[in-house]
Amino acid sequence: MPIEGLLQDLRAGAWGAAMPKLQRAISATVRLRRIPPPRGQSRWGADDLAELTQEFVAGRTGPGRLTQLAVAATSEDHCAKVLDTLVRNFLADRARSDPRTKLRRRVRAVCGAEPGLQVDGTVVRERSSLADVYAGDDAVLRAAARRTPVAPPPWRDGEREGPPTDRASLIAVCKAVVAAGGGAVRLDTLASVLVERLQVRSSWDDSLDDAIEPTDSITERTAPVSADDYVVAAAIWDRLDDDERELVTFVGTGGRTAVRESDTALGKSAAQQRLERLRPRLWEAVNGCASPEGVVAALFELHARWKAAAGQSDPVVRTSTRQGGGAPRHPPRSSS
Amino acid sequence: MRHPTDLELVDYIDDELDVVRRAEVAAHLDSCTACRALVDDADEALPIPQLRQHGVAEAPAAAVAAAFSTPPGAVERGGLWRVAWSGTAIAVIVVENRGADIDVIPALFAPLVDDDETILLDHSDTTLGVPVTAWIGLRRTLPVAAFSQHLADITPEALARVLQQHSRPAQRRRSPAAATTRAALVLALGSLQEARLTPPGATPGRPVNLAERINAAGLRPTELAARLGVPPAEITDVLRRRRRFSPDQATVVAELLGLEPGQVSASPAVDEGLLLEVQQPRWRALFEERARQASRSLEQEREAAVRAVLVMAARTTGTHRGTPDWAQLVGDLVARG
Repeated sequence: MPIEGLLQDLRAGAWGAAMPKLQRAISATVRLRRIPPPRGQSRWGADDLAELTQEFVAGRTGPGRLTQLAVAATSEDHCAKVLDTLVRNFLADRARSDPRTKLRRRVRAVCGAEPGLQVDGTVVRERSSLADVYAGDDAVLRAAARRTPVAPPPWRDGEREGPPTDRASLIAVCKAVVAAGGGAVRLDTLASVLVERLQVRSSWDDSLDDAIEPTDSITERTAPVSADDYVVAAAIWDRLDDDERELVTFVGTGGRTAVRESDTALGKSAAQQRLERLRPRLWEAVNGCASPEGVVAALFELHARWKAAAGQSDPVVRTSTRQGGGAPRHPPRSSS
Repeated sequence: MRHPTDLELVDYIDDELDVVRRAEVAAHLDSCTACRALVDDADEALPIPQLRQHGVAEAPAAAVAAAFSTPPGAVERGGLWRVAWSGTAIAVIVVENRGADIDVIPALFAPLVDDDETILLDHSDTTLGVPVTAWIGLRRTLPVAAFSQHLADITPEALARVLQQHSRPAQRRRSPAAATTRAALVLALGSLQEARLTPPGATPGRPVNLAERINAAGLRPTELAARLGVPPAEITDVLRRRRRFSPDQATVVAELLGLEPGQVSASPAVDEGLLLEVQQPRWRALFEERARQASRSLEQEREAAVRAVLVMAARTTGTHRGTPDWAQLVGDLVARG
């Protein structure tokens, strides 16, 4: 059920009257997605939720959000969906600025780039390790982390705070914890151990209990992607040929960029022509969805998985095709 | 069924949905593991906050209210407009008005993006009073028919900055986080570029020979005249292209012949001035209301208006061979209700 009359209130300039409806939507996302309560609280209180709504409405970008809602929505039902997206973006942005979430993202990036480690979805493992994911007591991992010396924060000034330690120390602790876990540890677990080892404090809550472990449930995506978005995106994806799939992430740019940054064997003009034919087809499929941006984000994810599958299956074939070879560059459609 | 919003899922948990929607959400949860997991793992009910209304921005609220309650004026350079067509709506900054075609740069109020393809306008740069991301790398030409509400204006200094940045050679730094936003904007702009009013009967392949169709349907002009309640001479005039069916007559004849109303009132090229006039934003809200009442699309309503105005022009201009005052005639049509 849409939030009755929200769009009407916004377009009538009665933004104060819209507040209870906005509060309902924000509280719903907080509750459904178990957003951690603020600093010093074990659970959300009425004042905390009121503060959160106030920040959504009256923060630096708050009036812009409501304006965007009033402008982009085409009906009350559509308005509810756009608001849903705005609220999740707002909470995701808030979470991204949390030091512990930053640490988790840094761990993922550092471990992914470290030759001795690899990030396999939500698991960090020693390179080429086939070990089962560690399921034992976290105390073992925490002990391994405590035994590893770490450097103090590299810099800090009055307004900004640097990372909790330098890259070398971070890698050393990650390696020690993964080794203590038998070669494969969940990223969430690793991040949680690091939070304690590096004494990283949340901007929302000082108490480091299990309920507020850093999680990627809401922070890792550039746009909220729903199950429906994936269904629509998958239907579109199935109808694309290999060249179009290669170009799908460039619909927002141009043929020149696509040729420079993708693996397409097309020339600049051909890529541009394919993009110009692709855009209306994509829009035809995306238009009418409550969240076109979500569908686009889902398409981008499908593209990333497809590229990863192509890279794992036969990276040599891709190179040879760029040089004019006849072998298929990408996995067969069934693999998508 | 579409994916429920977070609020709908929480209302489902609390049993606050109406019966129909509750059944739809329940059916969705049976097939969607992601939503089912959210519902199963949701927190217990949260306290209801005390209502606070302080801090609500008054300037943008008033500007939005004005935009949606008053007919917009002419589309002018530096205007911040809402453009809408076929379920798509975005904001744009007008950088050049070329009559029926208008050059624009898309604008977003949220999220704010800062890279080499965008420029951030501060709240003082617009009369709306909120920061705006101007997507200078996505300049496009849109038809005037897409222009819906005049939201505000940007200051001449800000417009100069936007144009100066736009003419700068393309840079390479693009925000990766904004990639999906950019792609969705490009696709939306593509859709909005389609917002052109097709001159009635001018679509290739659509014109029909009305006399042949009536004959093929076994109808005689006298029978048709009786059905429409008009003298037979009027039907003869239509078949000889001396006059056109009214919109209501065209609808009846179209049903009888299995055609679209636009095909029935097919005519040679319609004066560009009339087409441009019915697409002007100042008539849009009225046409939207009429379209809503008649359960048809805005495009169909505009086509009907074109036909009606042509009939009015044929009746009122007599032997006068000059171009009719289309603005006056469209105004008369709208005033007639």
